[in-house]
Amino acid sequence: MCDTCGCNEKEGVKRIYRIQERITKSNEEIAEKNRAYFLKNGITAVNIISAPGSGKTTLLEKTIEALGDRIKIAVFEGDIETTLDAERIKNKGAFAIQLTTGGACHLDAQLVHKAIHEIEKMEEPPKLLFIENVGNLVCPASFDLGETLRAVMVSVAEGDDKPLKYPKAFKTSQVFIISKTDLLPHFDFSIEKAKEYALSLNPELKVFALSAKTGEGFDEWIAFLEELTSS
Amino acid sequence: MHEASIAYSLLQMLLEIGEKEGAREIRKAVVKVGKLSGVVPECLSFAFDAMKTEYSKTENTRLVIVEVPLTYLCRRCGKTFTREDFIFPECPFCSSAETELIKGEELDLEEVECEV
Repeated sequence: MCDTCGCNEKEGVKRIYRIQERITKSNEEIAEKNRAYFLKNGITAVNIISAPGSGKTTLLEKTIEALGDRIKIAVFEGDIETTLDAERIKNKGAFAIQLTTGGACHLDAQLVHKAIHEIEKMEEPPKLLFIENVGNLVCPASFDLGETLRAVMVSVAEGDDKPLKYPKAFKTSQVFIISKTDLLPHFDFSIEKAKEYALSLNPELKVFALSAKTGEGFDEWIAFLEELTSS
Repeated sequence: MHEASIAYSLLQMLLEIGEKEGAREIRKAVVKVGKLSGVVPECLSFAFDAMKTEYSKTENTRLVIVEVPLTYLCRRCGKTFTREDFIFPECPFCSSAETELIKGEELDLEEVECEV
């Protein structure tokens, strides 16, 4: 067919638009609103990311026990189903809101935004807000929630190579927590290796190794949170 | 499978552009996916193709994914180099460990081809 007069072209005009925009733009816009809200109200929001069973809820229970009488704490509990974890947090005397994602593998900024309306009902806003993400080291890493700080956690039972297997979670975090250090005698987990791998991905990471069960290393974590909320 | 959420966001972006430009249909979308973006290209394609038929303007949209390799800049000698993996990215020219990832985290919509 003819290539000069255009008679072989389909009806209609083809137009090409060149843009450069993040696909996660709409999530990031809401995340910025959340971040502005936290900043304005003096709330330090910590997004905790880990695999299922690393001990996120237990870490929070112990943290509330240690800090709850000095610092007002609230928790957003992300889970696919059930309100079990929120009940555990409430039993420790902190304000908790369960976010059930109904199947989704991660929290997004919109879900957190909805929960913010719930904390507005508190008499006194919290100084410290923990956002416990859905147990998953992959998907939550791609969604900014507007948090002040992101903490990624790996338990001793999971293995010290986790940073290399889930690089995005470590690249986007500021804190790396190694949990269940009381299990070290039973597993071939090297804290040094885990640190080395994590720091090779993200040299800025602040690392904590602790056991919520025995309290080992917990003082450093609590001191860190106190300093974080005092500024 | 957070690629489903990302495919949904992408579709919304395309529909918005289509609306703004008065397009009859969107023929093609070019997306850049970095190796360290946290997104698996095959999963994104699968989710996109499953969802695109929900809208008449995107039912025939072809998704083209351009994978972006990991590119590092050496802070010591200033040279750049690409790597297959991200484990201890030492500079191949001067062996420095002080390197910085400059490409590979993209998740961008780059180009949209519309029929108006």
